[in-house]
Amino acid sequence: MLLLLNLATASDGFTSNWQIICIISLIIVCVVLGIIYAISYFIGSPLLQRTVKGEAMQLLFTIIGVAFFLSFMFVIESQLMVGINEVLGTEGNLMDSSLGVTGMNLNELSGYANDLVGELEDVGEAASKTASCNFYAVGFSISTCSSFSIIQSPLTQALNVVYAGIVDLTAQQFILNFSKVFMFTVVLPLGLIFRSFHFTRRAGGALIAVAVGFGLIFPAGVLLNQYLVNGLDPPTLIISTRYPGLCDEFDPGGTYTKAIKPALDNIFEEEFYGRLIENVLLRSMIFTIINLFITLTFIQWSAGLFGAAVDLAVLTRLA
Amino acid sequence: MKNSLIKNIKNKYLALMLIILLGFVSSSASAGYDCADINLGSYWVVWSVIALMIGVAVVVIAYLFGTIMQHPRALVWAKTEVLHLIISALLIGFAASLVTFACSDALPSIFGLSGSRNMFYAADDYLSGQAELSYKSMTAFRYNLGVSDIRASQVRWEPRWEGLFFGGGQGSSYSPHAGHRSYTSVFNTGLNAGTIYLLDIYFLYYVLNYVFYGLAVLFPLGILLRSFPFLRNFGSALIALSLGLFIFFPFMLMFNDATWGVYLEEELGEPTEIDHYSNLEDEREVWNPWVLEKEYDPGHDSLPVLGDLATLSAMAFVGAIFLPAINWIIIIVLIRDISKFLGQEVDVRRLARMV
Repeated sequence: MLLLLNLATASDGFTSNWQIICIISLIIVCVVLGIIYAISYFIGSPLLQRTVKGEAMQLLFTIIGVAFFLSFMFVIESQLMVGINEVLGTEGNLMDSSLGVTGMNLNELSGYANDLVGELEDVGEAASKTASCNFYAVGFSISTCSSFSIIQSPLTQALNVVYAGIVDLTAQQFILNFSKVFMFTVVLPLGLIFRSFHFTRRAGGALIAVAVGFGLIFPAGVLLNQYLVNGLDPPTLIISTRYPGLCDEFDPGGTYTKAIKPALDNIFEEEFYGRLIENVLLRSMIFTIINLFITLTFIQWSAGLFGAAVDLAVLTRLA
Repeated sequence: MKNSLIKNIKNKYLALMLIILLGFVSSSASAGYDCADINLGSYWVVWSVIALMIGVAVVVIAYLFGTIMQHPRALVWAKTEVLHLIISALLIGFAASLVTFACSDALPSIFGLSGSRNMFYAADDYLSGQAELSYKSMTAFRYNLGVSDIRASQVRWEPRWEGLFFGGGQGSSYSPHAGHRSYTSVFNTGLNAGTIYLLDIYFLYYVLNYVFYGLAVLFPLGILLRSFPFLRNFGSALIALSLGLFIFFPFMLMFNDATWGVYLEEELGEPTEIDHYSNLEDEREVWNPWVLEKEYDPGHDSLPVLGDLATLSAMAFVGAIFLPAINWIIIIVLIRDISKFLGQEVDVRRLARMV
């Protein structure tokens, strides 16, 4: 039975024909049960025969469930995804589309980070400027543009948030890629095999729940969240890189009016933080957490259908 | 379930199974496991059989006591206990079969990990790979912390008047990379996260070792305790916990190695940009006071570093935190099933809190 896994992982690209792999795994279980039933008939053990019949009923239940799931996936891929791809400007199946959305958001966030990094370099340089004058070891120095260090603080906070968002989205991208490659080709068939035998039935149910959770619910959640914010503007950096350049260390009075005040006004205006929250916190962090939470809740619920109790309280800490 | 099963199995089949399983135990014990080189050997089977023999001795003594003293309750108790001893013997045989299978290279081969001698080695490989990744992440963050600190400390002086005369002058100074100090908090966040990933991997590594060596102690102890009625449930729980963790914990880690490990290899390739950053040991090499222009080159952008570090951190998170958490779900469900079958439900959900 486990040779099936080898077959799945050895195949080129992993993702092809996962439906066939699932059907093969069920056929293998049928054959195994048939062999056990034949043995029970041969040795004349009614207990074993009854047990095999009970297992066959479970297998039938599994087959119905798989048939329902395959039909559901077919409808999603053939009907629903066409409309979703049109709206979101993506292409491919559910998983490809969600990967496309994640990549899109990641690119936007990277551009945002790039702008912030450039701004921080300029602001940092301007804030460090010092003018000095001395005569025979007597003199003075003045940090005319040090007020720019005030701006450094919110920009650093913003960079922290953006960085956390990039890590979140990158992790989501890895999880999606990993799910695309393995959830339906390895984890789901393994779950089907496990579910067909008494001692591993609940673990099989948990595996099936994990496979469907991360293979279907998680990418669907990504697309749903993207759909909700689809009409919103793309992220734009509000701060302007020209202000630090206007700082003249030899002109303390003029520098404040020309460079520092407009820069401060620019940074602290509502739009900067509004966009930061909308584009960074919402798209990359809150959505990722909500997706993970929904997926884990689904896993708990669907594992419960198979009698496997999953401690969600612990797992939600992942989010 | 257990009682109905026991009642329905005919004595002759039970005896036949017992003979076969005990024969298997003796053959596997004499052949030795592949696990012998990491000090498990087969002595846990010997200890289990000794524990069983102690149980047999107690039952025999009770039977003799009942016969000599004409004590019917002792006789009934001894006869009932015989059945539990047979179950314990079957459990030893079953466990020996599982351990032999777990200690063979069959499962790693099936999962395409032919380099591993058994699934413990495969699990160890996975943890080593993830520890290396987490360590790379930490090294890269620490290196870049040093780099940003050095760059931020660089100061350039520029005279306003050409040359100094009469011992005086006017000029200005600035730090071209003072903005790099802002990256410190970002890199610190990554460094802290990398530390947690590494600690989690080490934790899993020690759990793997505990699980491996724990079987030799916990399983025989479980068999021994099962021989006494008032400790039977506790003994069953020990058996379920030791055997369940011994089989399923390395199995799930091996599963990770066969999936996530293979995926990472394909994803990263070699050599990678990440390797470049994480292999840099001494950040002082970025500082050369005599080649200022090179260091002040604005083309030396920090964003690729941030992007690579974020990727590294995300990869380490998935391998060290996310997948092991999913693994625990499956392991816990499996152990609960085994413990239920043995008559004692273990609240293994608490194990997940270790994550």
